[in-house]
Amino acid sequence: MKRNSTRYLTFMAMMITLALILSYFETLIPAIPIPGAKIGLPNLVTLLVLSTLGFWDALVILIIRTTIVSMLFTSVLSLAYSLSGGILSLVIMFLVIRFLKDRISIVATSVIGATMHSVGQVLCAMLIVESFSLATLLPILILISIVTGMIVGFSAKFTLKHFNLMLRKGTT
Amino acid sequence: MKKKEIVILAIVVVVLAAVLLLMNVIGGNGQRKLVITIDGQEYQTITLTEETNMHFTVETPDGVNEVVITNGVVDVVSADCHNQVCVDTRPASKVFDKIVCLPHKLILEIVGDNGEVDYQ
Ligand SMILES: [Zn+2]
Repeated sequence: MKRNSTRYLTFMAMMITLALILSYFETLIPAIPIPGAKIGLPNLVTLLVLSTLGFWDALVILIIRTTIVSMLFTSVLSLAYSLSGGILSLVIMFLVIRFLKDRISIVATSVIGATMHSVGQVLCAMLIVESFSLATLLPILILISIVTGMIVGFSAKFTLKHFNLMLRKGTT
Repeated sequence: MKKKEIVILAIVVVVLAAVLLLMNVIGGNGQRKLVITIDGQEYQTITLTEETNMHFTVETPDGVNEVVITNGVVDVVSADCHNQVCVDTRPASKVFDKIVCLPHKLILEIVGDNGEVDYQ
């Protein structure tokens, strides 16, 4: 897909909308009672775009999505917080896909991404509250990330089949 | 998922579970105290026992958090922060348990009194 084509713009707009719906949907699910723990459903979009289009496209969607979400549902401080987790997660998933390509499954990539998301958020939280003591949250957060990463990973796996069809049809 | 990945994942899960178990064992006995930190500065320290019952408000530069201690279990019952994560966080009672309010740069953490969990 050419980046200046109508198809591309429509596709990106659709993906941003999907990410926003998933973000909203996630706020409806009761929170896991651990600070910072979330299912990370919008990561599904990041993962899909990253594996079908590329790094920059996924980054654009990530930034637009987190900006809109923080304006709608939260605040500016949480923008830094979610971006730090999101970008670290995206960069690591990109590197994993780039260098391991066929040797790693999308589910494992998703698990790594979810884990990095938690790590990034905890690092950012440490900077905000200026305390290393938050590091003790990591074991439980990573454990939760493995589960949520698998949920998102399997969703991505099943979605991708249809996704590839959609992307290939009438390539202009 | 590939076989190798499942094996690696299983190992990671076991290691993490062991770490959590260890934290639980270390945190299970001994004296406990509640340390309240705002923006990296220690604000208040309260020794916790089974009989500690308190109700107070922590005033941070960014807002207030209402804290209730029932039989030594610490909980944030209300706050004027935007995300309410601190209110949703489960009550803290064991060493390593903590309640964080990022918007207020506030940490409530349970610390062992014998200095084994000392930060900064
Ligand atoms: Zn709060």
